[in-house]
Amino acid sequence: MIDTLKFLAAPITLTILMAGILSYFGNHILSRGIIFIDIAVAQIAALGTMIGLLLGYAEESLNVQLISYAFTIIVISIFALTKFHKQVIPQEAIIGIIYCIGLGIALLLAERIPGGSNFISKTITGNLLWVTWGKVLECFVIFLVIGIIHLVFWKHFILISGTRNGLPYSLWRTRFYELIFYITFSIIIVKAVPGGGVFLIFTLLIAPASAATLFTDSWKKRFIWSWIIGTLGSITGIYLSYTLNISNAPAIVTLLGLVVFILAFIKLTARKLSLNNKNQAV
Amino acid sequence: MISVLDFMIAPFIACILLIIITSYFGIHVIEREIIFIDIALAQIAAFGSAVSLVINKLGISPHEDIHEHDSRTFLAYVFCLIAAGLFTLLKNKRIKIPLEALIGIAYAVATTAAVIILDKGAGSDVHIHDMLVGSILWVSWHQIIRLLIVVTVIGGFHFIFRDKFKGITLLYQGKESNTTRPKLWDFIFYFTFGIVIVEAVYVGGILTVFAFLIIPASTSALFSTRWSRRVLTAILIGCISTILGLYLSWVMDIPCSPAIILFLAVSLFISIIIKALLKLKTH
Amino acid sequence: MKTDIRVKLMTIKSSILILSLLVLHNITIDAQGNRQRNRYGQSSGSGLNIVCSFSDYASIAEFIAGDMATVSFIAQGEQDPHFVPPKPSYAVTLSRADMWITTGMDLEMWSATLLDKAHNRKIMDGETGFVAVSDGINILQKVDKGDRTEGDVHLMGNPHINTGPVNWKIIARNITIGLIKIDPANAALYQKNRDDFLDKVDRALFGDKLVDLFGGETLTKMLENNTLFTFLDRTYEEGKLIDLLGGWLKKAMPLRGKRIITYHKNWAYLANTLGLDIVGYIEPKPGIPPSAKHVQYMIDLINEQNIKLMLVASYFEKKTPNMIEEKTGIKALYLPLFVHGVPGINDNFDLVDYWIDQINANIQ
Repeated sequence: MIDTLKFLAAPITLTILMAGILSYFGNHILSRGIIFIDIAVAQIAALGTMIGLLLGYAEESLNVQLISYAFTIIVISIFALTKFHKQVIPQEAIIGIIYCIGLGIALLLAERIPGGSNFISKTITGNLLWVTWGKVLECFVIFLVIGIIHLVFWKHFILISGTRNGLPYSLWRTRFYELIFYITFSIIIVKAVPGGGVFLIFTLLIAPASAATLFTDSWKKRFIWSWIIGTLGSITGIYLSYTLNISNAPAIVTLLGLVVFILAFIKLTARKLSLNNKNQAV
Repeated sequence: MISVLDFMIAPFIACILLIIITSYFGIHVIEREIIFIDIALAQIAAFGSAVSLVINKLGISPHEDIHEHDSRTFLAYVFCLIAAGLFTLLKNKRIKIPLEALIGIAYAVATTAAVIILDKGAGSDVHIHDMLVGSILWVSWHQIIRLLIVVTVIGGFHFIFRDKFKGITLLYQGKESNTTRPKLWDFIFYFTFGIVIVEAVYVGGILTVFAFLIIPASTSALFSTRWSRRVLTAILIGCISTILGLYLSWVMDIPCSPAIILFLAVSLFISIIIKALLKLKTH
Repeated sequence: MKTDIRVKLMTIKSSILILSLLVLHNITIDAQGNRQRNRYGQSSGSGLNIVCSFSDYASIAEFIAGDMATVSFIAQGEQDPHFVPPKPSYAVTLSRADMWITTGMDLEMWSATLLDKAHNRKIMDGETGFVAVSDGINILQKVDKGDRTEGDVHLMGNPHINTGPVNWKIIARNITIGLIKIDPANAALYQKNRDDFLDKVDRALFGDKLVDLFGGETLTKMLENNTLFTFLDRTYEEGKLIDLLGGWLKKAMPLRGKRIITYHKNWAYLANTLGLDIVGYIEPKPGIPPSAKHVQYMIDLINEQNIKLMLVASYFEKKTPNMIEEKTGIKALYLPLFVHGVPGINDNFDLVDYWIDQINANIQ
């Protein structure tokens, strides 16, 4: 028992850190309606890695990682600059297009690289369970730095995310904030996806925030609740993976996903019930 | 010895059929901002197929060879139906989660749950890969006829009732509309869309269908807001890109899906440039 | 106004695209060179057209068919054998093929679609042009009818037969049978080439001396029955028979009985031949990441049994093996699974030489 806990300690710590930073970003993403941005970023990062490999650098070398980050940041900056006063093409569509093209190029390059099929989004798996305390510390530092940046620009980001039509600031000022937001976001994603796999990160981003949004409107409350839901969900998922002997990330994803749907249905039927009661009372 | 034309004529016709139906649906999808719905529905259908695979395997002896896996199983359509119902129900004022988020979660759950089921029940992940790239180069006339029927029936249905569907899309954008019984029509929309996706993805693969859905419709948005114009523009862009893409894939011996996407992307960029130039002109 | 724009749009677009097409056409002359990569032998044009799923089978087929055929293969040497994306040239190649050589178990699932749509009657399952090389091979890790609790991926057993040199002999026999069926006129040539190949394998495995004394067949049977080394313990002249051992088995003596783990089940047949003891797999099911229980089990296993080496086929991403190295101190050794997986490995013999050298160099 103690051994199991010792073994699970590092993965669980990383999960708590990831659940924290991802639920923060997740609430923003949800408000902006660009849900699939992290899958697109993951694919672009994978494409960046492939380019690095094609240029001849060794896999897992520092050069390849840097190229991957650089490529991702360039692409995401272009995306940040596509914010207009009037969006003729919705931003989510632009993300879809970026994802599509990125995946297409990745498929073309895949056969020129040994193991190229590993860089195609569906197959981006990861396993938290092998993580070492060294890696956990690395992530903690990066998340902390980005967290501080976001603390500084806190108000601006919330204002932009909350604005449905038009822009709260002038065009270029908005774009400046957008750049900071998306670049920091991409760094988190590029760091997290190889560890957890694209679907786990995606779910930790969206599901806890969705669940929290069902029950409260205040930003602060949403952040706290999504962090809690994300952490609890992950720990339960790891526990299930252990006892039922099923794959780790799928367990967490399925669990959190089902929780959201169940909560949504509860919310739907609960209101119906209370409305019926009200009608009957009258 | 196969000549280029022999080889390409069937894929070309298959692409045209796909383009016709996806150009129309693509505009709905973009207007409703549920961009990734086709990937989600394809994966949900695949989950249905995984379930049916496991159910089958539990009955058959382990030495039975299952050669080609047809993802268009009965359960695939059933799960599409369920998903359609789910999305219709959850598109509700009381639920402040954007529909795209629910679609995304459904996608992630469908993918990972399929992994768990296959892991525990059978054990093969080939189908996931197959569906991504598709095998449009090897499409048979049999499949083209099947696709033609689906496109005609569902396309015709949507053409007849196009105003109803447009009305619901307006509701999605928060505008007024006079479509009666919006929930019913919304459900029909998702279900017919799901059927189209299952058939289309089987032939062309998830990536091609996604590209056909999103890119021409986005490009057409740059030039017009009228539906008929947009559909025609999208179809035109799709056709040109397909011809060039198929040719390139043949000549450079690359999978045709990325080749077509390449040209779709190029036409998008050219359109952006043209639009920018036009703007400068009018200033 | 709007139609005006549309027309302009279309003309501009079309002209740019046609221009780029012309440019690309020039580049494509290079692409022809690409197709040569998959070819062995001479493009005689008049000979048989043999297409294989993997480069290993192609290498053996080329040995046996010699000048009588052009041999090509579909999956690249460094590619994941479970996942091969389709390209136009595959359809062309298959449509003209006289023979299709495949494993015949459930490894090449991607080939079913290719074959169905190539519309080549000659090479369909059951026809004379279809050769399933696994026929008659002693398959490891078969699953009993009733036992599905572990959810084994490959229900018919471990399909990675190319890693066991003993299997090449049966593969060669199956290919020869197929060749004789479609080209009976040259039967004698194929049989001679096959016998030469079988002899070459025997000598590579056991060394010349033992083969001359006992014959390859006997030695192979003993190897498969695990009685070879007991047999070699007998005295002979001034020493023991084992002193006469040569070839791969001699090179691999230091490995006999050593415990290792492998990332996936690719290496079972090789380990069987060389006497390596594979005690566990990180990811037994392709594409399905292991559960928490399994991961803990593996970490404990590595620590308790002091396992120092993990074999990883080179088509796997290095990310997870790196993490395992960091976590447990084990060394990950990346090996190409097929011929041409690494430049310079041009046939199966080179491949096994490479494997044994690499494993010897990296094992503690």
